[in-house]
Order: sequence, then C-alpha cells, then structure tokens
Amino acid sequence: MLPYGYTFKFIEGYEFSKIDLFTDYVNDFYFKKKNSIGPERFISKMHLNQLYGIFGRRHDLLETINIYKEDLNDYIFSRVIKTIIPINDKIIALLMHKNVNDDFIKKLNSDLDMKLSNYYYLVKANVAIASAVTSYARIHMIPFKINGDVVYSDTDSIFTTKKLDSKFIGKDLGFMKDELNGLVIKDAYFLGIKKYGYQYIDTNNNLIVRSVFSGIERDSLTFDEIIQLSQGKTLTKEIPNRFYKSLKNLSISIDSTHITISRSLDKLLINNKYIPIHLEGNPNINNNSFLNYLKRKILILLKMFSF
Amino acid sequence: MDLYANKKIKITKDTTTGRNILTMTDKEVINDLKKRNQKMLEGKRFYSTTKDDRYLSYITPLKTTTKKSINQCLGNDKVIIKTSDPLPFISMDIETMEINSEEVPISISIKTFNKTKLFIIDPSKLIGSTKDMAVSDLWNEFFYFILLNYNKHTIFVHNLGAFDGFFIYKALSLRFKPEEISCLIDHDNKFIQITLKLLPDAQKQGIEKFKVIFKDSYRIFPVSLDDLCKILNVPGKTSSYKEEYHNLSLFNNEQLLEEFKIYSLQDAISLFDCLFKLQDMYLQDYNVDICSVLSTSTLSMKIFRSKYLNVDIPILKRLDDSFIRNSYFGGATDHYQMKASNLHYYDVNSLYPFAMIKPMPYELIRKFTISSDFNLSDFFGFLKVEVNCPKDIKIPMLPSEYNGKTIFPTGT
Repeated sequence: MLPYGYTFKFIEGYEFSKIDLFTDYVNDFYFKKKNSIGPERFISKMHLNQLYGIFGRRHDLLETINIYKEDLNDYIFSRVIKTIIPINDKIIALLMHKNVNDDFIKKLNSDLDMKLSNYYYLVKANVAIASAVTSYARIHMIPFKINGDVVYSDTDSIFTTKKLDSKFIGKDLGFMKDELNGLVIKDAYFLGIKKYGYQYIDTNNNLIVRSVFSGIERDSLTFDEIIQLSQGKTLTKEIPNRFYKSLKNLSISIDSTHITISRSLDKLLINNKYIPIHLEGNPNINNNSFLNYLKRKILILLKMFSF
Repeated sequence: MDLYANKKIKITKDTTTGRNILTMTDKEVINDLKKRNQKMLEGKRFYSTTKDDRYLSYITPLKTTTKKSINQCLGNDKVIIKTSDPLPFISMDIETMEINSEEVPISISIKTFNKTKLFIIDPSKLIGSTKDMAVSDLWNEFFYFILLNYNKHTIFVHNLGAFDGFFIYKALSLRFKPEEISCLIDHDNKFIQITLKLLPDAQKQGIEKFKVIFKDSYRIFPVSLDDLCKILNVPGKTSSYKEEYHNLSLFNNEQLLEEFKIYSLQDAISLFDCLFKLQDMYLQDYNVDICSVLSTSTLSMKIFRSKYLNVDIPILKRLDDSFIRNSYFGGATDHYQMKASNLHYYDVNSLYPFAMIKPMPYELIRKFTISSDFNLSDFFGFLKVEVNCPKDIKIPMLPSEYNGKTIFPTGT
C-alpha cells in the first residue's frame, strides 16, 4: 500500500547506482545568481535552468540535405523523409529523420516493404538523469498540493487558499517565495492549464489584473473577459503581425490573425471543483506514437509519388 | 558577362576565387553528388567504443587547456588558466519587406571586428518579373563579401531559427553545390545551424578551403536583442522600427531610407557588441568559446563538462533509453478549482536546480522483471508499474500520457 490510496503492480525494473553530479555546478551558479546583478545574474540563471534538459535530448534527429530531383526515388525508399522542399527546377531539399531507433526501422521495413537504412549518430544524453530531475521536482511539489488547499499549480508554483507556514519560505534553493510579497489575490479564475486570471490590490491601492492564457499575450485580458470565459463564452482576440513560416517553399509571410479562446472542457466541473480525468486501462500506454507517425509519413509520400 | 541559366539562376564567376558560385549544371557537381548520395543511402553506423557493453558510450569530462604559470611552478598558489584565443565571428541581420504578401529580404547588415557593412536591394528591380533577380543580386553581393573576407568565421544571427534561416538557406541552396551546404533543424522545424563548406576545387590549385557556419545567437541567449543590450549595458537601438520600413514606398522617401539604413545597421552592431562582450566573459570565466556551441543547453553542458564533471556519465543504449523515457515527464501542471478568492501565490526558488543536487542515477546495475513481492524501500532506479489511483482522490499526483498530453488521472 502506498500513500494517498495508490496501488502499484510492479512489472519491470532498472536499478541504478547513485552519484552526486551537479551540486557544485548548481551551488556555484545559485550563489552567483543570488549575489550579482546584470550579465552575471542573467548568465547564472540561464545555466541553472538549461543544463538538465540536454540530458533528456531525443536520440532521433532531423537533418536537411539538398539533392537533385532525379535522385528523389532513391531517397523515398531508403530514408524517412519528413518534408520535401523545392529549391528550384533541379534541386530539392529533403528534411529527414535520422538516428531512428533500429527496431522501428526493422518494423517499417517489414511492414511497408521498404529498404530503409539507418543513419547513426551518437547523441550525448542520458534520459535517466533528466527524468530523475523532473521527477524530483514533481515530488517536491506534492506535499504542498496534497492537502487540497491548492487551486492551481504550474511546475514550480502554487495558488493556494492557505497561507504557507513560514518554515517553507526562504531564499535558499527549494524554498518557497511569496510571488506577491504578502499581498492576497482577491479573486481568481482557473479555466484550464495555462488559462487563468486573477486580481489583487497592490500596496498603492491599485487594482492589478493579471492573466495567462495560452495563445495570447500575458496580462492582455480584462477581469471581465476572464469572468465571461469562465461562464463558457468564447472570445475572439486579434494577434497582430504573426509570422507564417512555410518550410515547404522557404518563405515567410506576416499577417494579423484572430484567435478564439475559451475555457478548457477536458475536466468535468462540479460545484466549482474540477474532477480528475478517469482512465480505465489507458490505451496510450505501450502505444508507440512515434513509430505510427513515421509510418504515416512514409505512406503519404508513397501515395504522393504513386508507388 | 553574366549568364542566366534560367530566369532564376544567374551564373557569375567569382572574381576572388575564380570559381562559379552558381554551378547548377556542372557535370562534375552531379558526379560529386552521386558519390555522396551513395554514401548517404548506404547509411553510416556508429559503433560502440566502450569496453563496457552495457552502454553506447560516455559523456566525458572535457580537458581544458590549462598552462601552469611561472608562479605556480615556483610553488606559488596563484594559478593562471590560459584562455584560448577567441574564435572569429561576425554578426548579421536581414530586414524584409512585404511584396505580394510574402516577406522579401531587402537589406543585409553585418558587423565584423573592424567593419560594418550594409547591403541593400536595388529598388528599381523590386517590382514585377525582376524581383527574384533583385533578391539574387543582393545575396550575391553579400556572399562575395563573405567569401572574400570571412573564411572560418561563425556568423551569428539573432533568430536564425525562426526567421533569417529561411532566407539564408534558400539563398545558399540557389548558389552553392548541394553537398556544400549542411543544416541542422530541430523538431519544431527551426534552423539550429547552417554550414557552408566549399569543396576543394580539383582544377584550381592553392585555394584555401572555405567554411562559414551560421548560428542562432537567440538559441544561446534566448532573450530579445533589446533585452540582451540592456542586460549587458551595450548601446541598443537608437531608433525604433517603423511600419513604413515594411513597404515599398520606403525607397521613395530619401530621409526615411536614410533612417532605415541606420536602423538596419544598428541591429548587427548591437548584436556584435553583445556577443563580443559575452565571448570574452565566457572565455575568462569558463574557458568556453560561445562560437563553439549551438544553444544555451550545449553551452551549459560544455561548462559542466570542462569545470565540474570528473566521472564518465554512461550514454544508455536505445532500448534502455526507450524504457526510461516512458518516465520522462515535465513539470506537473493542473487545475483543481475554477473560482477562488483570497489566494496566496508562491513559487519555489530554482526548483529544477534544487532537484539536480539530489542523487542522480549513474551506473546501470541490473535490469529485471518482477514476478513476486518487491521491496520498494531500498530501490533506486526506474520501475515499470501498473498504477491504480482511487477515483475519489481529489489531487492525483502521478502523470500519464493521454492523447499526446500529460494528464494527472485517476484509474488504472
């Protein structure tokens, strides 16, 4: 029996030894971040946050090469092509997957009667380390969330109805910081992941409205609009000067566009509380979406060139 | 005399190297390409070089070129680390204009150690059928200048990935042999780097091998150029962007055109000054050259490997990578209540760095299937488990992938 009523059935394990890899790196940069301003602070912050991710890099890569049109047939059967980009009447650029998992290549070759060869390249990564880092991070957040006072949480932050005990607050690594310096959010609406808005009165007695809504600029919604969204309304917002990049013809156009925003409906809402999504035998487990994606890519290409 | 192979392609002898910089129909080129194609089609295999067949290879500490100072040799404590010479780089910026609802490059500005240069399009050719030619001329001018002066330079562009790279890659593809261009692209179709490496010309003796790499400074320092200038205390833009710069009428207004020229140059100058400062800082503090990396992460990794790493970190085999990758989720984000009042808002100081100082998985000790009871308490590693989360739990804690999204569900 595990905490919170979870039960596990153990299937397979990978056991590792432990090592301290990053303490000196983190302490050096955290000290610098805390005790400097300007470029040093900027640099320290950047390196604190950007190292772990590289350990989680995917092994499969993309590359482009330019080829002559007449050679395209050879490539269609031997490489997994993502995009074909015409350059002129003789040359085309191919955007291709490389370093694909060998098992996938074997499967694709047998299922689709292809002669794919794999192009190998060593990616210096170790996903166990990246996964450990993000797991520790999620674990660190659990005690803050589990008591049910938290109404919204994103990675390293919580919105909670209960003031945190001062023992959790501090300047050191892993401690909490009060984002609003003791001020209390008067009203807030949480309408989905990265969809929320709140208002509070600042020390100068001004009413401040903050909003985060994926797709549109931060703090660009009024509180009234947030309330409307919470009531299920859809709003249309203009996004000025958005880039439209086309890899297919290597061109870019700039245009204004409109985006409609609304609250998420992925979770059931009962009495103002969101009900967790319930799964019975998640069909996504063991389902290799990348392999299927590659398969689709190949089939589309074969169809396009009517093989 | 300039030759036109077709309306789009112009063949011009490069006066500096004597080679054609547009050689689309050369037999020789086709043969080169065929050879390379053959190699590409056969595939290349990376063979594991480790003595330990559990892993593919290792991430190893980087040896920095340190030189003992005379003081140290004499028993003094003071250690002077010799920093390597900075690698040469230039900065570049492209301005575009909207013509027939497509962005067309109209100026290219560059700043080098001792030069600033602005290439600007011939506006008289910009309208109608000569538009492509006008753009082509602009690029030809630029490439002559680069070929002549900047061999072995890194060319930094702020936002190569999502903007300038599109124009640069197209321009290179139209000018150089296909096998002279190589390019890395990320999974969001953003350009990571574009390399131009001229192949040695068999007929021409004594020509130095030419190579430049276009890199995205935004990928290394992911803030806007304005912000970068502010952070580094470098003079930034002296004037702000005007909507009129984006329109053909720009060329009919002499005063505006002058302003535009100053504006276009300023970006390249600011970028160069910022990077010059940063290159020096990184060489002094970490002995890492910013010209030798691709992104913030690779820069962080290089610093880590050269200053902090003292063991070999295993690189897992693909099979093991796939197994563990199933456990790799990002931060937990979830919403529990719609409307709320009187809230406190907290965040953790450097949550990920805090997580990094905990014990990390190192050597893969064993892989095993679990049939009977298993004691979790002494275990360190990764487990494949079937989870059951009771339906009445209000705040589920374990992530799951569902329809391409990370959710925190109840159930099995």
